[in-house]
Amino acid sequence: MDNTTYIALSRMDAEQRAMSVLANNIANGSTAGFKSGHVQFADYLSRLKDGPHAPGENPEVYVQDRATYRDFTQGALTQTGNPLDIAITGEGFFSVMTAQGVRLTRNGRFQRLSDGSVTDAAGHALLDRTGQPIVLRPQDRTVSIASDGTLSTENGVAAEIGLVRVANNHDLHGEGSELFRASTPTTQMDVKELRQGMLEGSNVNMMSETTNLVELQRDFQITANLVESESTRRQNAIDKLTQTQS
Amino acid sequence: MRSLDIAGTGMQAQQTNVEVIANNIANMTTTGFKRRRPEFQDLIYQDMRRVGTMSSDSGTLVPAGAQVGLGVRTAGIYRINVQGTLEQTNNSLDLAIEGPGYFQITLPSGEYAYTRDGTFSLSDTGQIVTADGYPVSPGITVPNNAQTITVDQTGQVQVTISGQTQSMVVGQLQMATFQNENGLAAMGQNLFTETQSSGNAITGTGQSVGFGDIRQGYVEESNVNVVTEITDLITAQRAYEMNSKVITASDEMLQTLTGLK
Repeated sequence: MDNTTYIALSRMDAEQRAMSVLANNIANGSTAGFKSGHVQFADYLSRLKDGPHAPGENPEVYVQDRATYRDFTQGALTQTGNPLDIAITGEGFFSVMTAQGVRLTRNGRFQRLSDGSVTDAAGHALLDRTGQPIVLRPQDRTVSIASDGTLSTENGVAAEIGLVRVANNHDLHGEGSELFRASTPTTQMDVKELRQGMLEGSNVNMMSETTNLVELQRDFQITANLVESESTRRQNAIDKLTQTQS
Repeated sequence: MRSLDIAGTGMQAQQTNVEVIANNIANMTTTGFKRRRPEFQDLIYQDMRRVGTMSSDSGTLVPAGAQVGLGVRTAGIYRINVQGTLEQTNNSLDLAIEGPGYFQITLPSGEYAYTRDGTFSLSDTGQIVTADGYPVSPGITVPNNAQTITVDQTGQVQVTISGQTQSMVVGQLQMATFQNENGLAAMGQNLFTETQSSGNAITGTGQSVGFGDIRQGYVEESNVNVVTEITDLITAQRAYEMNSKVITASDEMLQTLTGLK
């Protein structure tokens, strides 16, 4: 096959992966704290073995899905009334302790376990400002959380919920279960905007996902048509050439 | 094609969502029922290009990786333990809890169960029992010549007997709370049993610290809000539709691929 077909196929290959990212966004349309992913396409210059291109020489360009990045815009807030549902209405991430170390999350659905510790759905402890797990005492009944992260009960202040900031949100590595691993150091935030009894929904924009879906599908079709017409053109060329020969 | 499977997990999640909503709506007139809400989580991610690795062609660090998530799963279904509205019935053995706490019930097996449904009645032997005939724990027996039954806000049960001027205390209703209410296992019939994750029952009486008040002549209605459920249902239905669109689109793409020559 020639390069026209390869270039077109590289595009179709990248589009298939883009479709997976889009499917994952739509599948997580009701996942609290989910941040949608997007694909960044890039041209991929084929490199010649013998160094840089000569002036005027056209390199062949392949498509490559260079990276996926996440859109960290705020998701819509919904009222749940659960005292340990906490939504972040600005920057920052909650930090939780997993067996593999500290992980970050925007999913603010926390619960109180029988030992008094405040954890996420998987039982990872929510950390306070100093990086220690937040534990409530048996006599603590009513939990109220101020917007600055102060968690108090009828027995006074119990903890200060920690919120961390990452220098570059793109350094966050999604691990599933709404958890991110930061590959760069994180810093505790001083100004926090928390809302008790609310949850941050997924920030997937169904409207733009739908248009992307249609666009992607049509694009795929057009590229497939290109591959097909290229094949026909070559077939015709071969036919014509063989006719002249005979 | 990965997107087919991913959208499949999305449809499954929305199906669960609709099932939970259906159960909430079905129980909108169930006494003491607490609405449920499913919680979803994204599945693991597959790395196409890992963040922070060296790019093979230019020798620079990859600034952002390429990660493809593999869909969604149901992480749990939680009860929203918000107080339901109290409805007046004037029935002396209809009791509602205003605030935290559960009534403690003895099951035929001898184990305890807990409920917010306080529609009690008397058994043939005069015991205070639930609608299913399970006695409250500790058991309270009302003499058969009792004229009136009064339950105060702490749960103390008093009766007056004809011919006597003084009322008589026949028992004290016990209540229970838990460190982790959501850890209770629902067993149907408006009953819950304790589990390892709920922690042991902390018992007490009405109006004491950490317990609600007992209101005689009232029942606690379910806390299902029809408007919320309907809007949630519409959202779930649309989300389901979107996922099925992804499946159709992926299928068409596959068809295009297989048709290539």
